[in-house]
Amino acid sequence: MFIRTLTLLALTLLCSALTFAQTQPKAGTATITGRVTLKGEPAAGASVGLQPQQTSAGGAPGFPDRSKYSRTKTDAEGRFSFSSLNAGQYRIVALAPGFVSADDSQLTGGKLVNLADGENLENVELRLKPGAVITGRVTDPIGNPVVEKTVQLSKMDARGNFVRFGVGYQSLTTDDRGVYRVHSLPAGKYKISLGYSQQDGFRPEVSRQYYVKTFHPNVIDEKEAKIIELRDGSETTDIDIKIAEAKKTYDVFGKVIEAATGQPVVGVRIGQMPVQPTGNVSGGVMMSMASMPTDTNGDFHLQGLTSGKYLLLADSRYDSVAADFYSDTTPVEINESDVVGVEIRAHRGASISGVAVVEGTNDPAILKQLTSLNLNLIYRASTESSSNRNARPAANGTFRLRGLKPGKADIRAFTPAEGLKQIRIEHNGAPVTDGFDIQAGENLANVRVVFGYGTAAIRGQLKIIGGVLPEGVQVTAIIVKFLGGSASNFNVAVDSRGQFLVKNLTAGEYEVKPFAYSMNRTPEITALLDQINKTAQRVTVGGGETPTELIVDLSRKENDR
Amino acid sequence: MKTRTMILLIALFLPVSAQQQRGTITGRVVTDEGTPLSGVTVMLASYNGSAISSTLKRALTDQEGNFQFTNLAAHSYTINVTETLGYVAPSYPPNVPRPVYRIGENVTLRLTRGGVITGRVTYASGDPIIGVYVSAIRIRDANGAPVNIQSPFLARLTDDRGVYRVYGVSAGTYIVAVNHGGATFYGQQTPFDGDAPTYYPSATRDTAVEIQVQTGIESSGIDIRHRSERGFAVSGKIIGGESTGPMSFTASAVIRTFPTGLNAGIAIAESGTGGFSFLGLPDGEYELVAEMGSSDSDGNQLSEPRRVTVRGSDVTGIELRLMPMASIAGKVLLEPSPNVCDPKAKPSLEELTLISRREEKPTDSPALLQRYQVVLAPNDKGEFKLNRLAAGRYRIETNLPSDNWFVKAISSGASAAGVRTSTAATRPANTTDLAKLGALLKPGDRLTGVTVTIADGAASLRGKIAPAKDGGKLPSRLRVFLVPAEATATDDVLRYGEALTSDGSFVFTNFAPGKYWLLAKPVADAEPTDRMPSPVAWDAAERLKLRKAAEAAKTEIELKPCQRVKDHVLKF
Repeated sequence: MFIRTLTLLALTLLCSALTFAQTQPKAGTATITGRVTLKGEPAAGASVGLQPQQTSAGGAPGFPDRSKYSRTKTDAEGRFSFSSLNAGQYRIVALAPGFVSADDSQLTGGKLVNLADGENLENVELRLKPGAVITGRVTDPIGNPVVEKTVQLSKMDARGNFVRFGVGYQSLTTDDRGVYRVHSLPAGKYKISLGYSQQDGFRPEVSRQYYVKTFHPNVIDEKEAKIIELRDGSETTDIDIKIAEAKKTYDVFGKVIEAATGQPVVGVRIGQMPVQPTGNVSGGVMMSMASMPTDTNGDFHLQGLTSGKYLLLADSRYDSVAADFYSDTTPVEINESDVVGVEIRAHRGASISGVAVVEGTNDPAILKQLTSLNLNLIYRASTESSSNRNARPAANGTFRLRGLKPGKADIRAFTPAEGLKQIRIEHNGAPVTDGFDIQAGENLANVRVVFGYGTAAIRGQLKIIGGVLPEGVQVTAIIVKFLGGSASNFNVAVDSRGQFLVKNLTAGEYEVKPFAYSMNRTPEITALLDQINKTAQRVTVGGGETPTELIVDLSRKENDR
Repeated sequence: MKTRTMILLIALFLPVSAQQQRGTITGRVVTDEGTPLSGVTVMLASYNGSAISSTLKRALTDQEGNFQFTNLAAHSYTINVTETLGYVAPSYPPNVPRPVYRIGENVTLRLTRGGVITGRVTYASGDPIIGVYVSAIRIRDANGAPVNIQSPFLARLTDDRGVYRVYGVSAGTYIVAVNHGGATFYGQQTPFDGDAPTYYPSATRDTAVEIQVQTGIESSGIDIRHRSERGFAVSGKIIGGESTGPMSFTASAVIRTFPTGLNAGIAIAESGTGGFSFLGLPDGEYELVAEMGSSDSDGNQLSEPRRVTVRGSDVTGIELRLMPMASIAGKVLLEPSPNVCDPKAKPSLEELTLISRREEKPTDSPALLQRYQVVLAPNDKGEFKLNRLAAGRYRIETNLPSDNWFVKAISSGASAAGVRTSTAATRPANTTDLAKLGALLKPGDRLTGVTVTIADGAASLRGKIAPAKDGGKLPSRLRVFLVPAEATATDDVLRYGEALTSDGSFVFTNFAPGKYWLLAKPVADAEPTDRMPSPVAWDAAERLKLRKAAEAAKTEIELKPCQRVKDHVLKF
């Protein structure tokens, strides 16, 4: 199978409201038939799974309910079929560990389909080829086996760049002898490494030492890494890694104080943002599992950091005691020794409170969806993402966002393709159309976040013209934005036919935009993603279903191949 | 440590003196042969005024296996090791408190070289099964005593050849299974979802072949042929569980086979509907418990354990109702004492730990054992709140920082089951003896005003059991009881002690001075080693029986204030 676990997790986080199984009590009439092939020949007796995807609120992200999955086996001609299906979104996957998808553009494995009521979907083809195996032993600088550590693979893409590569049905950790064995790999050129480098960003472990990222056979510089070429179904052995160096980690000690009073801020955890050697701050705020809230003196102690530059801040998002505070970021440089005396200045933030309400239905089951939505306060400036806050409405709809930093921000609830949609925000009865300009320390009350539950829908088709997407780039979702009210938007998944479906809309003007994603972030790919993601189209929704075509023209900016 | 005689006299009358005392814990990690282990990460966590929540400090052992933690406050600490390179740290049953360390101590952590179980998993056709979890399930320990609680970590995936390798396995007797607990890699669908477990070599649970694992030895050829038998589903929904606090965690249902206590899996309920399901269960008795976490200390919720029998078909419609958990709050007081064993010693109340222990019978489900025991240290004022307790009758036990201290009384001002604040210490007439009666907690009960009274002048007794006849052999496990001999102390449960011994040695520390009887009894072979039965003295009728038996044995000993009896010999 060709499931890139890392990608899958990344997507899960990006589109947390999107997928996952849903109960459908009565049997439908739709069918899906298809074929599994191995190297072009029918694959008899192969297991095929059908996974209903959840498109409405509820469901724990990252834990699909496997009891809703079904599976079948292919016949002598490699054919499979599923019948009595309800309309909905499904993923169809070949359950064939050891084999890989021969369809290279598949990012997440299998085929995602939006099945209409009574539809007979035919000729779904799942093409497989035997996966390759790579195995070896990892030893530390003294020659002892490296136990229970994860190897990392990168695979060369069509442009010659090595891209991080994840595989399913296996763990990539070394065993008690230091031996690793990675299977189910598509043919190609690979590099394999073990250890951490600052470029990897956040290091979740907080052990007292770490292995410096070392590539097979024993080099730190990726350019000197030996490239391993794998053919379909091959086994390549003795790809050993001799770790070049084990390095110490360091601790940071400091204090969080309230800037206005100089008093210690108690019970707040410290978030960190690694600063790349290039000066960029990568990713969001990370918090080590070992991060303890500040004590009664406001003192904190961060552990297990590698040498390098960081921005630290007091991150009160998870700490009810200190939730009224936000903080400035404090730069810290660790240079092969512990750092003491760091001071983080915190401020008492503003608050926004009010009530979330639903228009268009009195159905208690739908009203209950409110309490599973998160109201996110998102700052317009992307550099302020660490100041974002969220609150969940109580059963009576009331909410309070607190510890807010001054700045321009919007309230957005990420709503699923099916169910409640955020349509409007009001403050003191007047519509808020351009977000909130939060002033220091103010307490904004009487805010209404209005959700609608309509009967209209957009049934869309994504068309890519003027070229083909390069390997590893895929439009995974469509971002839908309601233009009539607040700055709310949400994502829906695109199926393998480029179809997407958004339900429960109220009449009005909408904007649909593709969301293209790639693990690979070379400048060319990033430019291409930006180009695709800038495409936008307006859709006017009345009653019922509005068909729409979303066209992405790759030829508009030709710079590849 | 500095001399603080003047301060001490005052301190005895105060809940605590907030002197910031600092110190060091040093230690060494060695193999059971005594070879130092370098490069092992040692984690130190403290019970500073709360239940243990997170790792506080980490150290790396040097070439001699040494580690140290400096500049530590006078609290209670636990120590764990990670990245143990295939070595295994001693495990503690869920209802047995872990050792507590304090500043000034020198710790030796002994790790054993884990065993290995390895083999190949195939279909009936002989083709390898790839990417399936193989679990090693410990059913008896190295001494042959039954094990109730399965370590969750002993599961590994098969590779492209169907080969698995489970390492870091403690010595003992195991059965090995595929599809046990329905675990899959990141929740991926597999071709075996819903299949019942297959046990080595190609068996159901009843006919599974047992494997003996020895320290550092590899058991290879443990090949499993998959039976591809459909299991059954148990499904239902979780009711209740309105979340409180800024962060709450999805309710999960844990399912365990009964009565062997093998953890058969965890399902996460859908947040919209509360629906959950377990797949691939063979016929048998199961127990389900739903739990919802919260970052708010009073926000956790738990359901009653629910027993389910699976016989040849799916079980649906199981409802698990979440209910708030209970808590016990109060204060630790150090009483002015006529006997002060060591005027120089001045332990802090923050170095003490309190442990909630629920009354339980050996037939009680092991599923909730972890939910009964909360360990925490009082704050610098002696205040404590033991929360996140499942319903039941509880006693409070203590781990005292000094051998000179003993617990004189544990009482509450209200009736034991009541939820009412009171000032226990000032109204002795109205107090309830919680040590004797326990505190009966219903879901959501918040018992407050509990007073734990500590006094100085404790005695201790160390000894060994010797065969009554020369050349006689002792049973493999004995339980030694310390029973108060004064008639007035018949119901003073705090003066009863019991100690389990497998080598004949026993230790009783932190006991009130007085007259005692000693009694040893053999332990039934069937008693598991991984759960601690409730002390005999908790039950009024059993306590009387024990006292009669002890009186009849005529092994009286008097423990004087601050006395340290060593090398006492008890004939059996």
